[in-house]
Amino acid sequence: MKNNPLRDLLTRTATDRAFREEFIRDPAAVLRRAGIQVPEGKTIKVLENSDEQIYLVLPTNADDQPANWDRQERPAPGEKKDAGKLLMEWTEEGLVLKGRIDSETARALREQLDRVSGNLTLDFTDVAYMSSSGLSVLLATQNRLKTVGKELLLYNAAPPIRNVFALMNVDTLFQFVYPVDMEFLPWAVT
Amino acid sequence: MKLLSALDSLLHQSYSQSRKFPVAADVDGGITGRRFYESVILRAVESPEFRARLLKEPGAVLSEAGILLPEGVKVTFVENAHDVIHIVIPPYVGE
Repeated sequence: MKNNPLRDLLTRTATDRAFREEFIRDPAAVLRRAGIQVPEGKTIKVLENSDEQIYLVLPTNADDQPANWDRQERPAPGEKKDAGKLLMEWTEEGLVLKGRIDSETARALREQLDRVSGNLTLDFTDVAYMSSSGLSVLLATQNRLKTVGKELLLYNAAPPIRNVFALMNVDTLFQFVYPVDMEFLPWAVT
Repeated sequence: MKLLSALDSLLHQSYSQSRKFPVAADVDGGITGRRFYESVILRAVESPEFRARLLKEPGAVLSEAGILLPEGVKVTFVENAHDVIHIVIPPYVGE
């Protein structure tokens, strides 16, 4: 991640004494100021590493975190998920998306994407609409996959969909691929 | 940006640093090595019994996994609960 406020914040606690003390005293306030959303109703406990004592936080299988985030689990072809306005189907090639990726269906998409830790092709042929919620899900997944050297391939995204990426300046973060016979259309070229 | 997913991503990044290097060169048996990640962290995610042991006797579990720690260094594993999140800050190294 290029811009990582949390990592920057942690680094700062190592060299800025006043900042470190403030963070230990009121971590939630400092986090919010850094633009990091703190979940409601959770207490934050700050632990200090030292030369003699190292703390390590174990990942948990909380609902909003991917469970087996490094397992190569590719769902079996034929498996379908109907999220109302968005239909998803696993195939040999990857995950086919049909319909709309909006604030209602983005979560369902996230659940499916969280199951994979390898390269994944997403078929956008029949995606009619995508909002920033969908974009967030794709970005989160792309970030996660890139840390293990993998990525999403976005197949056959129509110009309006492609524009959503371009408008948010994130189109360079993804690989867009098109069927061979369409590679010569103007909008299929970067 | 959400704290939980940011922590998640940081944890993942720090544990998988060694993935940048070929396996043959991964001689690091320390707590940031690939071996650590796979044999300890992943196992704790998948096995409740292992996780419980890891929390109770980290030293024993780590040495069983072949993880070498420097003299005098103690490792403590913590879990986030539904109402408590832990954030670990690095040692103060000053100006």
